[in-house]
Amino acid sequence: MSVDLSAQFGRSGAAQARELGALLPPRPPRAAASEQLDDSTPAAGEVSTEAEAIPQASADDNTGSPVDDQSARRSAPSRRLQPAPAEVDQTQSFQIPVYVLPAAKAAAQQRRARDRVTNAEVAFSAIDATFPKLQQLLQSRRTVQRKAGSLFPARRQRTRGSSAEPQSRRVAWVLQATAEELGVLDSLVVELGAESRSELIAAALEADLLTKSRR
Amino acid sequence: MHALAVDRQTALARVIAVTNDKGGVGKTSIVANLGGQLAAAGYRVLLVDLNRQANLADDLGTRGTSVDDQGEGLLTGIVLEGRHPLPVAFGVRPNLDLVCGGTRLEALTPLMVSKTMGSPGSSGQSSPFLALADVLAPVAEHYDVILIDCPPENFILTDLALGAARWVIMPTKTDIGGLVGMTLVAERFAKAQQINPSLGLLGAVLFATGTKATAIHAAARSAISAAFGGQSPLFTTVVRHAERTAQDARRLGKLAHELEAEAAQQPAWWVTLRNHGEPQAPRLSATAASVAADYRELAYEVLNVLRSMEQAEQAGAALGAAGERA
Ligand SMILES: Nc1ncnc2c1ncn2[C@@H]1O[C@H](COP(=O)(O)OP(=O)(O)OP(=O)(O)O)[C@@H](O)[C@H]1O
Ligand SMILES: [Mg+2]
Repeated sequence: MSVDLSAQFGRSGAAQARELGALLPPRPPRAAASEQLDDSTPAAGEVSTEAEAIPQASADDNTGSPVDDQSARRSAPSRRLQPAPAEVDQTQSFQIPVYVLPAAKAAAQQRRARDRVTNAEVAFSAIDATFPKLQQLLQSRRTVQRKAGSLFPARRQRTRGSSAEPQSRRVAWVLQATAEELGVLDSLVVELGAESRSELIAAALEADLLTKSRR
Repeated sequence: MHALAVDRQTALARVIAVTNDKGGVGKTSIVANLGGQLAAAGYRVLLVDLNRQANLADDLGTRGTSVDDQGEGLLTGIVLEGRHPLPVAFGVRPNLDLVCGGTRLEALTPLMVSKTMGSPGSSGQSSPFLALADVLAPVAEHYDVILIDCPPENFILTDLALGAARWVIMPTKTDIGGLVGMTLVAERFAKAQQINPSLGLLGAVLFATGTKATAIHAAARSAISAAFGGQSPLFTTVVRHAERTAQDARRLGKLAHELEAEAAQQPAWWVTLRNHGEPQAPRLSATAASVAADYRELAYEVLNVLRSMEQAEQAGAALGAAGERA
């Protein structure tokens, strides 16, 4: 279509603001509660405190805090344009580092980008999908697979990580969970006999994303 | 300019019409959620529904409640030409008030037609299409932002909205239809500027059509930018496609950020999984959190653009005043 809509509309505020350089948005006031979509990748194998989104202290932004008394506000119309402060229902969230196979991390990142969901959502749907066999998955993770035909039964692995094969070395993948989700994860850890939240989630994630055909 | 017109302009400086002639491009969802975000952030917000179908009432959960007058109040206000205060449903959310739409608005079209016949563009008299502006002006001072949800394919009601608005936000989908709809709005926009010279386009919002649409988004962005002579009106925020969340929202009368909070409260997924036997309420889609985040970012972006436009305007006014003095 060869129209020039700018003839009628003129230049939009969005275009002008861009030119004025005013569109370098600091994070929205309530964005702390939500996770960013651009992936921040912790260096492989490092214990990373890097999160999907780092909640920002926004105390400085909290000028122009809304008046609580509605009638006061009604009688004195305000024209505030400062970003308003965060709302009350700011659900606190917690970072959970999960150590997963590099391939699982890559798959999780793909899934996240494809479905535009958070890491937490990827993890939870993996737990959903693998739940019936999760306990067994956890157990089998901890047994050293002996060579076929070995006379010795499989044995619980003691030292994971240091002695592990290079391809099974795990990397950190961080998700952001609410207190409530954390509680659920912890109860699952106990119930299914996982060693940690990380192990629980990793078992689900690796089984869900690496073994079955792409959804 | 008339003193009256100046007053009206000042009062209506934060009125934003959300419009696109094309149906189903996200107008109502944006009005509800942008309004909801701004209200939750502490701004005083009024939403005005100009739709016969009043989907805004579904999104806010007000349909059939005691505040739902099906547009009667708005109609009366316009019939009485602002001589009667506009009935507003206060506090449909904290900081969020509503002027309801509904079936009573059907009467507006013939009313406006007869008014138009009565005053064939004579310049002495104020245009009939300033009727909504006159009705909103007295209440406008109570609000930081007023958002008007415009109907699709209705020039008369769109013209009323454009007569009252300082700004226009145009949602559009990634298909060609959105652009056609914008072209139709462009005609009304140019016409409305004759009676409402301060009308400006604040920006356009891309409403996603699918989940894997990165390439499609890019194509839509460049098509829209090209249609605006390379000066893209698009906000950077895209409202993602999330059908389940949209359905949850309209079914339950909850905004995305409210669903977000509720989804976080619902029984843990594994409890739901286990209690196969028991009847369960349908699970809320956890995607609500992501959709809410989109609206949050959009709200923030809109505030930023508004602020920089108002600052530029003030600077311009100061310059103009200095020029007059010199
Ligand atoms: N993020 C979303 N993803 C997918 N579908 C959505 C989304 N948001 C809203 N919808 C759905 O898209 C449809 C159109 O949205 P909406 O009613 O906001 O558009 P509209 O432009 O106001 O429509 P109309 O022109 O009919 O008034 C609705 O069925 C709504 O539930
Ligand atoms: Mg609508």
